[in-house]
Amino acid sequence: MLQQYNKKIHWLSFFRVSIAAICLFNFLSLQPDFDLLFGTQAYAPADISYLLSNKSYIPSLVKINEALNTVLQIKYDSFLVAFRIAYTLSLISLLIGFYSRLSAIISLALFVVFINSYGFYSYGFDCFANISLFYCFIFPVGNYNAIKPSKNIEQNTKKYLRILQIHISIAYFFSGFEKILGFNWHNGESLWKALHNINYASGINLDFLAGTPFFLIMGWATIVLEMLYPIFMNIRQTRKVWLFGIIGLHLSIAVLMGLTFFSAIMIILNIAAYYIPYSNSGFELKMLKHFFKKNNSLTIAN
Amino acid sequence: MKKCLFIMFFAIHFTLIVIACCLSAYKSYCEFYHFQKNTTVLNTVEKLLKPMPVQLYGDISACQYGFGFFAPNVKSGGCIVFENNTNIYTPEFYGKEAKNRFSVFECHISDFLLKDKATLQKNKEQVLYDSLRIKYYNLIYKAISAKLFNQNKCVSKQSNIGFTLFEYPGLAEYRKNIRQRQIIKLYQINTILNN
Repeated sequence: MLQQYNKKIHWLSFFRVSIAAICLFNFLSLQPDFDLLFGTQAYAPADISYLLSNKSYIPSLVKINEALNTVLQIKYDSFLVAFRIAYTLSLISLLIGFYSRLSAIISLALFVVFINSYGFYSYGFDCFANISLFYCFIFPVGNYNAIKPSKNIEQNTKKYLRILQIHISIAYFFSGFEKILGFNWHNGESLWKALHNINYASGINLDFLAGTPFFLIMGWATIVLEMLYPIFMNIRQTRKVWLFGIIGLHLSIAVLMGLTFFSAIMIILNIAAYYIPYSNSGFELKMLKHFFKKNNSLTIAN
Repeated sequence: MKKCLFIMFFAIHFTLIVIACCLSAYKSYCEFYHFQKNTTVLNTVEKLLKPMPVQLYGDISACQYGFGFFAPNVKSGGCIVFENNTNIYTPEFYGKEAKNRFSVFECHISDFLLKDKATLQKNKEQVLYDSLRIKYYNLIYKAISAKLFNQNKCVSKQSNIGFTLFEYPGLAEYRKNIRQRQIIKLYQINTILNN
C-alpha cells in the first residue's frame, strides 16, 4: 500500500510542482530585460516584430491589446504588466496546487499566447515547457500534495505515466536521429562547434582535449544515448545507467553551453518519468514509514 | 468507452508528433545536403497538418515541433553589430536568459537574409513574398539600429548595422594550429539616423 502511495504521490506532484517552478523561474529571469525584449521600447518593438509570428489561429498579445482597445484604452506596456502578473500568479497557483487543473489551463493559455506573440525568441526550453503545461492540464496533477486537492481522486495514474514516457522517448529518439543524419556529428566537429559557439559560450575551455578523441567519443555518445533512449530507459536493468547518462548530458549542456533552463526542464522530465515512479527510497516514503512505525497502526509492506 | 476514447485520443496525439518529427527531420536533411525535396510527399504530409483544428491543437499541445536540436548541423554563432563613427555596439541585456533568447531572434532573421539568393529565386511563386520579407527584416534591423543609436547617445548620423559571424576554427583546423577566430560580416545595411 505504501509503495503504491509512494508511486502516485511522487511523480505527479513532483511533475506539477517542478514544472510550475521552472516556468516561473524562467519567466522571472526575463523580468530585468522584459521591456528590452517585449515592450514598445524593445530592440525589435512589438508593433513591428509581431508579424514575425505567423501562427494565425492563436491571437498574439498585440492583437488582443488592439481588440481590448476598442472597449478600454490600455497602453501596450500596461497590458504587458497585467499579463506578467496574471502568468506569474497562475504558475504560483499551479505550483501550490490551488485548483490545479484551472491553474494549468490558464498557465497554458497565457504561455501559448506569449510564445505565439514572441515565437522568434523561443528555443528548446519553450517547446518542453509547452508540452509539460499541456500535460499538467491533461493529467490529474492536482490529486496529490495540493493545497486544494481534486474531489474525485483517480486511482490509476499509470496510463498518464506511459504517455509522458512515450512522449519523452519520441523526443529523444528524433533528437538523436536528426543528429546521426549530419556528417559533422560523426567526427566530433558538431560538438566542438556547439561548444565554441559565441552565443553559448560559457568560459569553460576544453580546447586542451582537441588532440584526443574526446569530441568524437562524446559526439557518438550523445547520438547513442538519445537514439537508444526508448529502449534502454524502458528496460529495468539498464534504466538507472541510462538515466545517469542522460542527466550527465544535460548537466554538461547547462555548464558548457549555459542553457540552464533547457537542461533543468529536461532533467525534471526524466526524473518525473523514469526515476520517481520506480524509486522506493523516496524521502516521503521514509517519512511515512517513520510515522507508521511510531503509531504502530499499520504493518509496512516493503 | 472512456478508456477507448482515451486510447484513441493519445493514438492521434502521438501520430501527429511522429509525423511532425519525420517532416522536420526530412526538411532539415534536404536543406543541409541541398537535396531537392519530394514535393508530392511533402504536400501530402503537410496537408494532414494544415486543417485549422489540427494546427490549433498542435499549437496548444506543442506536438507540431520537431526535436532536432543542434542537428543535422550546428549553426555558426553570430550577432547583430551596429557601427557608428568607428564605435561598435551590440544589444545589451542584464540576464543570460534574455541574451540567449535574443541570439535566437538574431539567427532567425539573419538566416533568411543570408539564404542563397539563387535558391530564393528558383521558386517563382515565392519571389514576391521573399522580397517583402527582406524589406520587413531590413525594417527590423533599422528599428534595432535606432534603439542602439539612442541608447548609446551616438552623434554621427551615418551608421550601419549587420549580422557578423564569429567563426572559431573547426576541430581539424585547430589540430593544424589554426587558432584565430574569424570575424565575417555577412550582411550589412546603412542607416541615417537623427537624435
